[in-house]
Amino acid sequence: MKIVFLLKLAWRNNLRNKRRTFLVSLMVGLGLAALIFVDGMSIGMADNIVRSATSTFLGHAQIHGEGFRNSNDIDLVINENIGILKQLAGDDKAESFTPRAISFSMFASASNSDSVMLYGIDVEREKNISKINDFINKGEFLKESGQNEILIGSELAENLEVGIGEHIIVTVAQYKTGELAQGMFRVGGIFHSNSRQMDKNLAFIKLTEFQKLLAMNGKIHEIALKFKDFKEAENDFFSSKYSNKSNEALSWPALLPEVMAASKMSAVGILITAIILFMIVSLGIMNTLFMAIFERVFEFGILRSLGTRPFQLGLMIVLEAVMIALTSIVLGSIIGFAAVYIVGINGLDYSGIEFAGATFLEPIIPVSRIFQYIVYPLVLMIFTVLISIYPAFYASKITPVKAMRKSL
Amino acid sequence: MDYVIETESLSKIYISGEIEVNALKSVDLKIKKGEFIAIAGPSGSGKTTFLNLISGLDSINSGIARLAGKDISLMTKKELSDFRRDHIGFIFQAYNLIPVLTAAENIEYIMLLQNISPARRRERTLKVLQDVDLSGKENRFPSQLSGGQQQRVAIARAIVSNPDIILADEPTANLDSETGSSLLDLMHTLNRKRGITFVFATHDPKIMDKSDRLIIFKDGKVDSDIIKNDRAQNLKNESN
Repeated sequence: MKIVFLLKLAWRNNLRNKRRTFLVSLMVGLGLAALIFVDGMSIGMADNIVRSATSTFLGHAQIHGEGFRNSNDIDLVINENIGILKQLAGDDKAESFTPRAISFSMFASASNSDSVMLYGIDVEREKNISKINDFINKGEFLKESGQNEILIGSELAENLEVGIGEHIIVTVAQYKTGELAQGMFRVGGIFHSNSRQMDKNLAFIKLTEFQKLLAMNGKIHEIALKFKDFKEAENDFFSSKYSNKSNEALSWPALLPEVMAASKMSAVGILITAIILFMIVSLGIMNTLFMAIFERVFEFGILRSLGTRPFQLGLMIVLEAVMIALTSIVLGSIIGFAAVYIVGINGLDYSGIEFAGATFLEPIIPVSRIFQYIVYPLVLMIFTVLISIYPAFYASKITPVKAMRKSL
Repeated sequence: MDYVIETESLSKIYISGEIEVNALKSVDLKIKKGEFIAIAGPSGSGKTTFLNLISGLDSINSGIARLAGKDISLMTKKELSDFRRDHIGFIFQAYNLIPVLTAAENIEYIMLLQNISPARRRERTLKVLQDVDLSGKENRFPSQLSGGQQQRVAIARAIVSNPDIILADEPTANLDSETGSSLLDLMHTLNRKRGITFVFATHDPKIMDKSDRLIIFKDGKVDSDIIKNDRAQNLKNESN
């Protein structure tokens, strides 16, 4: 029998009870819309957390001396850093980069003392990599011309009870010798990043002053960089190109494994949610099909007596399910897209909340991706067809004489 | 001359719980092509069971039923479906049209099952609608037709595929007397003009009166088989 005729018949059969068909389509459509929206939020959240983590301070990738990341041993500097910096300057894929030196230090003010991770930074280059400059809420960012200025986090400033212009004594252990050295710095700026870890534990001085204080003679511990294309971080080229001469080059997925793990976990969560949702909506469709079958048992008897084969009757039921699924897909895609679009106008504001070791800096904007409107509807359709096989089988087994017991 | 229907010791037992009901007891009947037969009898006499068995709608317990020369008890479900589609037309008491299909689509349905081309389907549908006096109503849904018109569509559906026999179960029971008579005349004309074999299971005296041959069922058996006119007698003589 012609499939077009069967489709027409299935569509008209669904329209026999318009309200029921609409309600079940709406229910299934809302399930699909919820999935599209949750997936959009999940992608938006992952993008947000990665963007926050990489743009705040980390960069898309970093180079260190081997072992430095685990030990923070100031003796483990980047080997031949001048050559690497030159290489990066000529690298087409690198948009910007900045050298850093890092050391544990003890800060003492007139009122208090605290242990701090002290960074020596290239004042101008740093602005292209991190957002420290944007986070200044008192004073100003470090200046090339400034001398013995220090930039500290807002919570550290509270702990030390210091303000702009006040002095801090910084004590460090020097490179190689381990000799203690002290320097006095004037607070030039206080930043507030919303990340408690940064605001409490980090402080910045000029790289040249850091190297002088720690007697490092031009040596550095870290190069942070940004790629022109963010996706380069997911390729191996950077690691294979710069992990040599006892140096270690890593992109953000390796530097922030917890963010990567959270992102993967989120994908698994979506998958589980999808399976549960699809099962629920599929059962809804099966229920509707059975209702439709029980209402039309007599009619199936007529169709069978006219010469309709059991398979053709079953196929008609499957096509009715397909029609419901198609209606649901149209409704669900429209509702899902609208939800993503409307929420995306302002986003959901989670700024300041830490997740997987990173802090949301911007509202989460749900993201629409083409696959959400192809893969999820396709899976819904497959689920629907599979779930309709049972009612279809039931209908195909109906014997004409039992169906029409009171007639011929 | 071949028989359209031929039964030998046809029997059917229904089991309801622990009770066995002998719905049909060893029925031997022969029906020739072109006959216009009424099967009458009280409720529970086996009329409908007989029609169910000879059309393959119900399974045979014992005996043989041949329709167009083929033993239907040997057929699979799929073969039975195809056999009904190609050889039997049904007319039911309650019209039983598919409500979501138009009059034309209801008629075309069997031809769709037979994979007949759209142009040929259309041509035959319009012709048969004309035969049952429903020209111009092909695009109406059953709910937009009167009871008599619906039964005419049912008749058109039954005859459109040129079946060997039409089985009609109380086709006039749901109609008023005038409409019933009109439809009976139509079926009688189709029988006479086209030679279509009609077998009615009925309580309607008009159908019994109009039939060439009246078979009375009683307690699952043929109680009497009356040849009512010369035409039927001639058909019987031809077969002998």
